[in-house]
This record gives sequence, structure tokens and C-alpha cells, in this order.
Amino acid sequence: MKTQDLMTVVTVAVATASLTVMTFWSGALNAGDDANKPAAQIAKPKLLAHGIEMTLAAVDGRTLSAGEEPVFELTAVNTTGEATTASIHIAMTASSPRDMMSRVPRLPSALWQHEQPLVLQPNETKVIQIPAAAKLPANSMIAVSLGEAGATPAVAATAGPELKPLLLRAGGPLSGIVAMNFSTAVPAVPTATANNSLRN
Amino acid sequence: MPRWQTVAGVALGLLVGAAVLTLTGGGGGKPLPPPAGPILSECDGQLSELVIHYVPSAKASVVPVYRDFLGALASDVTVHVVCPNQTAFDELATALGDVKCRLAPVVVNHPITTWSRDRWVALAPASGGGATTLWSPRGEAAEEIWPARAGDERVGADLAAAMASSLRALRSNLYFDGGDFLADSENVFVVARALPRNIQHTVGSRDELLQMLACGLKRRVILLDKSPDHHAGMFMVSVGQHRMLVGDPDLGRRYVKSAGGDSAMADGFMGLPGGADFTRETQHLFDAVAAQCATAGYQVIRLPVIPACDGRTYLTYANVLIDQQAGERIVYLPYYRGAEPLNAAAREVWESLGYKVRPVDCTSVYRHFGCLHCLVNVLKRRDA
Repeated sequence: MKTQDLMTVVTVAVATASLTVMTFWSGALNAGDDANKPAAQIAKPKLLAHGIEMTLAAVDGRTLSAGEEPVFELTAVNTTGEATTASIHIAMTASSPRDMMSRVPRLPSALWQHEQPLVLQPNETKVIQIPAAAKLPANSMIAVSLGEAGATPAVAATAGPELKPLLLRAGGPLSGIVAMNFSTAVPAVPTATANNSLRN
Repeated sequence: MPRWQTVAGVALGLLVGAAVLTLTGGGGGKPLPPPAGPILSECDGQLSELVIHYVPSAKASVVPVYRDFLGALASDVTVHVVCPNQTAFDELATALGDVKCRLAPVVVNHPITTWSRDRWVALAPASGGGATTLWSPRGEAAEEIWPARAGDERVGADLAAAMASSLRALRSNLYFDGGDFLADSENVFVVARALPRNIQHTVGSRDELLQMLACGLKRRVILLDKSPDHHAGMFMVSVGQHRMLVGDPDLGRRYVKSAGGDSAMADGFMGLPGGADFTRETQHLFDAVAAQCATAGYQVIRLPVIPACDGRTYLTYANVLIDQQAGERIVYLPYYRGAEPLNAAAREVWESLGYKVRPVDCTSVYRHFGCLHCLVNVLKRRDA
């Protein structure tokens, strides 16, 4: 074999190997192990109803903490070319461990709920501020669910003293989403807008 | 016509490229793990390796349960005991006294809860002699406010590190508790609440969730449309041969009445917070599970259960461990002191299905929202 032949083989081999590696270099295909905790896939949960795409966040993206009455910002986008209406149910629940021996946190209890009618023109976007008339309890997991009014909420909850008629104890087929969840642990860990840690 | 030098170069390049990809895991920084097999069936095979957790603060609650259960296991069963430290393991070993099964400590040096079931699900090796995969959820419920729960999140990896030759840990993109699944040799039932935990957070749609679960668990996935807001093992158990036991509060109610009439319900029968919950809405959820199992082709047998008004505390007889030994079907069945007629009724159901009952006293633990099945996770089963 001549030197020129060898050089040709090596050159082609290097090029082929590089192409092969580049083509199939994909990173871990599975969800990852403990060293690579998977990143959030959906940064902002969306509810789609009657062609309206809805998201919920704390006003100004602020971090919510124990003792305050949160103000939410509902963004509704009519994705259709026709005028549309919907009635949206927003519910806030809190749960906490009964004690450190418990297998699971208590069933969430209802803190506040609100029905928001929406009327949108074709392709219109509305941003609505909604104050919640409830103080956030300390050291709790807070979930805020969005769903169509009259449907089963995404979070099952025990009824608070004044909320009994509207919240169900347990979920049927899902018709809503948990739009936000965060904790009021100190220091607060949440992110009201980056909902990457849904916890029952 | 390509010259021979080009052909040889391409062949050599493909070989080198394949070797690089294999050795590096294709960019993942480590070799790609071997594929996992299906989720272990809960009603087939002989118990071989189990995992429990022990923390001294839970001693009064769990030791009576462990004493009954571990005391009934044979010497060829290994029980891996996840403990925060060696002292905790020694304390449990002393409290248990003589047991035939082998206890093996797994000291993790961080806080944990005492509940093993929800931390991971075991996926059988894809091929004989391969590693079992511990599939852990993306995160633990309430870990932000519950340090032991944050520690629980690490247990799958802790176990894999302790038994590196036979286990590997894999973290899912999904949120779940191990107890959200109930698997037999064909199907895996998934409780309804798994959907809101994931939809628009880890998956965009219900179909995507089903697809991911089927891919991870390698069984047909049946997502319950409606179910009590609790783990599957609290209200249903597959007993093999397409038979499903599903809790029935109406059956439980008869025994509450016999123990003191309706006042017992209001006053908190057996210390159930708020009393027993025999509302129509709750009954409907259990019935909905039974109906969906029947639709899926299962013969449904109802089992007495008493859920409490807190939605979390149950007197349940579905929260069992099933074993097969020498052709005999065995059930480790919870019982509750003070609920003897109910215990007897449940035992009768199990015996009518051909199960030999090994009772486990769960009086000390049911008030903590879980029971025997919740405390014990199964790592391996042998073919029966």
C-alpha cells in the first residue's frame, strides 16, 4: 500500500466518522438521571376553551408569599377569526402536610374562587387583573386552577366554609388545568409564572 | 466506481463513529443505559427483593407493621432498608428481633420519609440478567415545604448507587407517585389525578401523557377517568386473571352501623378524621373505578372500605402485598384492631379468591394516609 493510498483511507475514514458522530450525536434520549434533572417543558400552562387561549400569572410576575392577597393577571387570546365568549372558573387551593409522618399532604382546601366572563372580538387579546380575596397561608403548597365554569376543577379540594357549593371533592374527567403552583415556604421557592413544579 | 481506498475509508470511519457513539452515550456524557422492561406486576411472582424506609421518628407507627410483615417473609427474601443513618438501621433491627428474611441497610445520610412505595417504580430488566430500572418521578409532592420529601427524591439514585451492578436509576419527565400506578402482567392503571399533575406542565395533552406512560412502563395504560383522590392501592388491587378488587364504601358502611349505628360515622369511627365518608359523591368515585375496570375486561369484585371525610384516611383492604410461593397465592392483608367484623369480611373476600391470608396489623399506621402497600416497594420478584 502506498502512502498516498493510506492517506486517502485515513482522510475518508475521519470524514465518515465525523459525519456519523455528528448525525447521531443526540444526547441522552431518556428523561435523564439524577445528575440531569429534566428541564421544565412547558413554562406557561395554557387553557384552550372556545378558541380562547388563557394563561394566568401573578401581576408583574412577582413572587407570592405568605400573608398577602395575590393579584392575578389573566391573559386571554382569541385565536379565532370570530367573536367568542367563555366563562372561566379560577380556584385557588392550599395544602400542607398533616404531620411529617403523613404519606401525602392533606387534601387541598379551597381558599378562593372566581368566575370570569370573557367576551373577545376576533383575534383580540385581553389582559385582566383579578385580585384574590384570600390571604396566602404560610408553609403551604398553593395551586391555582383554570377551567370552564361549571366543569370539574383540575384540583380536587375540600370545601372551605364559604365555598362549599362550588368546589367538588374529587375530580372527574379533567376539563381544566393547574395554571400556577407555588409554595409559601420561607424562603418562598415558587415561581408564579414558571410553573415547573406542580405538586398535587 | 469508487476506488478501494474510499470504500475502506468509509468502512473504517463508520466503525470508528459507531464506537465513539457507543462509548459516549451519543452525547449524553455517559453510555446510553440499556433499555428497561415493563413495570413489575404486583400480583405475579414470588417476592424476592423489597425496599422499605425507616426513620426513628416513625418507630411507633411502622415497627408493628414491619414486625408482622417482615416476620412472615422467608429467608430467601432480601429487604433493603433505606435509613438516614446506620443508627436508625440498628434501631429497627433491634426492634424487629428475629426475622428470617435478610435485612440489608442502605444508609443515605439525608432526610427521608418512611414511605417507600411512591419513590419509584421498578421496571424489570429488558433481558435476563440485566439491571432493574428504578423509574423515579420528576419531583416529589410538597418537597419545597417538606425536607424529608426532598430527600425522598434522591432515594432512587441512592439505591442504584448502593446496588450498582443490578440497579440503575432513571428520572422521568413526569410527575407521579409510585402509588399512582397499579400494574399487573398486562395493564397498568393510572389514577385520575396523574393527569392534572402533568397536563400543561410536562405534557401538552392527555394523549401525550398516555404515550409517555406507555413508553416508560411498557404496559397498556388505562388512565382512570374518575377515581378517589388517593393512590391506587388505597382503593383497588389486581389479583390476576383479569380480576380486580375495588373498594366499596357501601359494603364498609354495614360494619360501621353494626359497630354503633350512624352516630359512629359522625363521631369518627376508628378515629377516622371527620368520621366515615359515605356520601354519594365519594361512592360514585369508587363505583366509577369499578365500572372502568369492567369495561377494560376485568371481573370486578367489591371489597369493603371506609374512607374518612378528610379524603385521605382509609380503612382499606386493597393496600396489600401479593406473593406466590410454590403455586400458592398469598396476600399480606392489613387488619385494624377495633374493626374486627370489617377485617373478617375483607378476609373472606380474599379467601374466596383462593388467597392464603397472612394478616398484618396496620392499626398504628392507617391514620397517616397510607398502609402496608404504601410502606413497602418491590424491587424484584422471581417467577413463581
